[in-house]
Amino acid sequence: MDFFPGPPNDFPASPGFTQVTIAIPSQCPARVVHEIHGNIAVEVQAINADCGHASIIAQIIDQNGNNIASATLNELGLGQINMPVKGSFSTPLSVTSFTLQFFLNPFHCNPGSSQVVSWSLAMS
Amino acid sequence: MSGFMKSSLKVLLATLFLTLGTMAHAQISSTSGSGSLGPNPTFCPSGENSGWNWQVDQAPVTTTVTSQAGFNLPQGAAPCLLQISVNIPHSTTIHEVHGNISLTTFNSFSGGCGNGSAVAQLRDLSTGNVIASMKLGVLGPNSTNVPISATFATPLSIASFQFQYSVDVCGPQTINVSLVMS
Repeated sequence: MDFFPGPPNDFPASPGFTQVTIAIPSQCPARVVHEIHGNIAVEVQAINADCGHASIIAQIIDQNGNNIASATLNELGLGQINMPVKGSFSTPLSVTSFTLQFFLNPFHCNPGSSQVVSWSLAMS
Repeated sequence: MSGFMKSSLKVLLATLFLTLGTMAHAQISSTSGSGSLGPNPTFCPSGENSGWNWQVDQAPVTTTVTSQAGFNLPQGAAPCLLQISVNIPHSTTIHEVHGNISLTTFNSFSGGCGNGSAVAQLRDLSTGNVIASMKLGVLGPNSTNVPISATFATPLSIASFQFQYSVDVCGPQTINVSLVMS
């Protein structure tokens, strides 16, 4: 399934739930995550009549379902909202794969409106 | 604008259930709930596009809370309080929390309504210890967001949560909560 039919940072044409699993290469040992920091951002790049708002849930989850970072963000009209992420884990997570989950509220009409979720997260 | 909030309230739980389905292989226990506003058991009057939902996902290490609550107080209404108690599948100990709480308003200020002002808290139901809290105001159609990142000097032993929301201005506004605890 092609989750990204458009340019690399575009969502699919149909809003809804999307998840992408990223395995850590087998030649690499599992990564132990004690701490995470970075950001998750949402921007509305184009609007169409009443269809110009972003409402998203974004999560990054390990292979056991442990949630490493989660955000629910709304942006009304053209603009960007940025959420700093900073967290630590009392029990470090041994991670062999990540699943990126996105949910975009179906209220947002297509074509004519454009929302982008981006994130940059460092873990150690 | 109201359709935005209505749609948001409708789709959140569906999304979360879908999330669960796709994560069925993982070791997650989930519980969820939703409801309308009204005289009992809440003190917030119902209005167009008002309502609430929540979901708690428990994995081996993390507990994730996601919630949305929409309010639409009529002009002249008294401030209101909504408390939702949540029993979770497995008791857990919380050392740390991170995530966000946001407040969104949907209408332009008109006739005295359209701004947002709310308190949102996630608490330990049994002790009243507050895990995360925010107080925000928003002018007109807009959204504001509070990142949450904190550790507890004394870890909290949790068997149940309580969402506590208080709204003190009229017009449609929505509170979103997304918190990861471990």
